[in-house]
Amino acid sequence: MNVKCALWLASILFSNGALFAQTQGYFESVDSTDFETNDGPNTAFYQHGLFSYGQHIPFDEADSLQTQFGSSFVEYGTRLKWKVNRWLAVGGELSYQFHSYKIKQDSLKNLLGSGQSNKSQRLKRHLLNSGLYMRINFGQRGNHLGRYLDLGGFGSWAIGSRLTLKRTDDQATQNLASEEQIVTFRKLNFTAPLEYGVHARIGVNKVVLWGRYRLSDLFKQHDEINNGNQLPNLTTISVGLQVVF
Amino acid sequence: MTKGNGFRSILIVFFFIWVGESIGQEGKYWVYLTDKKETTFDPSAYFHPAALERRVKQGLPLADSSDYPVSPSYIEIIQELGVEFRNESRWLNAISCLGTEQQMDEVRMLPFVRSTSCIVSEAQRAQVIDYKYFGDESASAMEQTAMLGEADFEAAGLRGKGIRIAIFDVGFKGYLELPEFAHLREANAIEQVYDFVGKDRNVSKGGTHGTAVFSCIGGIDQGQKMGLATEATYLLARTERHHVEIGSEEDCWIAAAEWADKNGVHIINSSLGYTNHRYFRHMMDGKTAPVSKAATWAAKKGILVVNAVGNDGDTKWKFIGAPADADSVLSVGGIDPYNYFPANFTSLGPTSDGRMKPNVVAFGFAKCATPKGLRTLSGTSFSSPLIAGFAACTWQANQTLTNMEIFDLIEQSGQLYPYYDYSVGFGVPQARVAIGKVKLHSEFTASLFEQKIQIAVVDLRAFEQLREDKASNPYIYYKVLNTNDDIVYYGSLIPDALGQGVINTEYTKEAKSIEISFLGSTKTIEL
Repeated sequence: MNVKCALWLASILFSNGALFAQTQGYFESVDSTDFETNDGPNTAFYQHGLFSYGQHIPFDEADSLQTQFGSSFVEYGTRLKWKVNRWLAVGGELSYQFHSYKIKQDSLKNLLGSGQSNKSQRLKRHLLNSGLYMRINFGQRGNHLGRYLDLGGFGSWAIGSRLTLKRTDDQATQNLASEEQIVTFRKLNFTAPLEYGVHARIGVNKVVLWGRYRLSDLFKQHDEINNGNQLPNLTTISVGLQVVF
Repeated sequence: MTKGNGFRSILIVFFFIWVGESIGQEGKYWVYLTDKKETTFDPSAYFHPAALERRVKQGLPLADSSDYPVSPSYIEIIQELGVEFRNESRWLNAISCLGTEQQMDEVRMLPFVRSTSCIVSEAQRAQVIDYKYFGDESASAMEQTAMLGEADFEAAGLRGKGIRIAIFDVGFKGYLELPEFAHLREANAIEQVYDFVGKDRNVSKGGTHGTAVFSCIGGIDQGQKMGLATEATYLLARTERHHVEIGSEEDCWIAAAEWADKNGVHIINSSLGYTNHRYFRHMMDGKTAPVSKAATWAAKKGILVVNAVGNDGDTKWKFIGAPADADSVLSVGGIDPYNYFPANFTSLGPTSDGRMKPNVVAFGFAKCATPKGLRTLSGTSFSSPLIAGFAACTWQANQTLTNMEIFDLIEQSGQLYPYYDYSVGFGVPQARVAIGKVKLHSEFTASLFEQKIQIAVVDLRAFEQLREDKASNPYIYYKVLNTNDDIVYYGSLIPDALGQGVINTEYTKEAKSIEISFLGSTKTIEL
C-alpha cells in the first residue's frame, strides 16, 4: 500500500470520528431573489421606525379649561408603507404615545379641584396608537422616501392616565410644614379610554412635519366631576416634528 | 422669543422649505445626445504622449468617435432653454445639467436628444467606501504587501516603474508633507492633480481617505513598503465630497476618468462606490449606473480600472456597488489578515445579472499613512489600492499585454484560481504567478461517502510548506452548484492539523456537483 492509499483510507476512517478538528470558516447561501429588493424606501414595501415630538396647541377651547404651551406629545413606533404607484402609497402605523396637557390655572377651571388655586395641573396619558394613511409623493426620488403628503386617521387606546396637581397654599401643605404639595390621581374614571381623529403629514425623506386633529372627546361625563355635567374639551390640535429611521 | 414661538417658527420654516422644494422642483439630469455634429478632434493635440503610446501598444485607434467632444452647439441650445449646464462626457456623449421637469420636457423634444435620466440628488452621506480606525499598525497589517508576494516582485526589480496610476478619492490631505510619500515627491512622480469638485488644482483638502488609499499603492514607511507600486507615476483626482452627497460625484468620477485617459494613465484606482438610496440592488448589473458605463469606457480605452467592492457585506444592501459591478472593472474585496477569511464588511457578489464578483481580494485591514500618523484602517478602500499596486508591477513585468490581458492574468494569479466564490473571487493574487513562475500547489483527495465529502492532503510535507507560505492559504474552499451551474451555496473550512476535512452535503437540495479548492488545486465531484 503506498502512502497515497494509506492517507485516503485514513481520511475515510477518521471522517466521522472525534479526531476531526476542522473549523467552519464562512458559509453563504446564494438566493437570486435577493436582488428583487421589495423592501426599501421607494419599493413595494417599506417598514421603518419613527419618533415624534410635538405640542398640543391651544385652540378653540372653553374658558374654563385651557391648555398652555408646554403641553407636549412624544411618540415612538413603527410605520408600514405599501407603494401603489410612483405617486401613491398607503400604509399604517403602530406606536406608543405619551401626551402631557398642562392645564391653565385660574378660578374658572373645573377639572378636579374647582375653585382651588393650584400652582400647576397636568393631565398625562399613555396611549397605544394605530393609524392608516394615504401618501401622495412628489418628484423623482431614487431609493428615497422623497417628498410626500400623508393624509389619514388614527385611533388610540389609553393604557394609563393620571392627573397631577401641584399646590402651594393648601391647608395640608401648611400642616406638613412644606411649601409645596403634589397630589397625583390615577385610574381616572372621567377620561375617555379611546381617542380618534385625523392627521396630516408633510415629509422630506426622514424629517416629517405633522399635525393631528382629535375628533373624539377627551373626557366623559362623570357624577363627581363638574357637577355631573360634560367637561369641556382640552385642545384638539397637535403639531410637531417626526424623525423616521 | 418664547419657547412656544420658537417651536412654531421651526414648524413654519419647515413647511415653507417643503412647499418651496416641491413646487417648481429642479432636478439633476443626464441628457444623452444622438451625435457629435460639427466637432473636430486632433488626438496629438488633445492626448498626453503617454495616452497615445498606451493606445498604440494595445493596438487601439488613436481616436474614435467617443473621443470627440460633445457638440458645443447642442450644449448651447440646451442652455438656451434655461437649463443649467454642469458637466459633459465625451464617452457617454451626454451632459449633466440642472433643470425643472418642464424644462426637461422641452429638452426631450429637441431632435438631437436621445434620452434623459434623472440623477438622484437627495441630501445624504456620500457613498465613500468608508473605513474604521483600528489603532496603531499591527503586525498582521504590515504583511499587506508580503501576502501579495512583494518578495517576488522585489527580486525581479518590479516596483511599477513606467506605469501611470490615477487615484480618484475624496481628498489627499497631507500628501505634500507626509514622509511616506517623500520618495515620490523627490522623483517628481506625482505628476498631476485636479479637484473635480472644486474645479482647481488643490487636492490636499476634503479628507484623508485618499491619502490613506494612496499610501497603500505607493507609500513607504521607513524602508518598508506599504504598497507595491513605489516607482509608479501618479495622478490624483478629487472626485467626491466626504459628508455631503449632491448628486454630482458620479459626474466628477466620469470627468476624472476622461481626464485620466487624456493623460495616459494605465490604471485607475477608485475606492468609491454608489449603492443605497441612489440605486436599487437590481440596478447593479454593470450597465445601468452612469459611473459603471464610464468605467467600461475607460477599459475600452485600454485602462485597467481597479475598484473596491464596498463595505456593505454586513448591511441590508449586502452586494457590490457601482462601478465595481461593471464587467471590465477589476473589483476587489477584503479579507481579514488575522484569519484570511472574507472580512465581515466586504460586499458580496454576484452582480444582479449573475456575473462573478469580486474578481480578487487583498487585506481589508491595512497600515495606512494619515496626517495623524500611521494607522491600521479597515475597509475594501484599502484592498483596492493594494491590488492596484500589484497590477502596476504585473504590467511592468508584462508590458506587451493589454489592460484586459493584465486583468485576466491577475485573476489567474489568484491563489484559488480556477476556483472562485462570491466573497473572495479567485482569492489573493500571487506575484510569482503574475511574473511567470509556477503557483505553489499540492494534491488532495476528495471522495463522497454517505453524503459527506472527505478531503485529505496527499503530501503532508507540502501541506506544511504551504502553511508556512504567506501567499498560500491552506483552507478548504467549496461551492455547491445546481443543474444550471449556478452556485447554491459556498463556504470555507479550516482543515485539521493533518490536512483533512469533511463537507456535509446532507442538506443540499437541487445540487448537481460540488467544486472544491484546496492547496491551490481544484476538484469537482458530482453529487
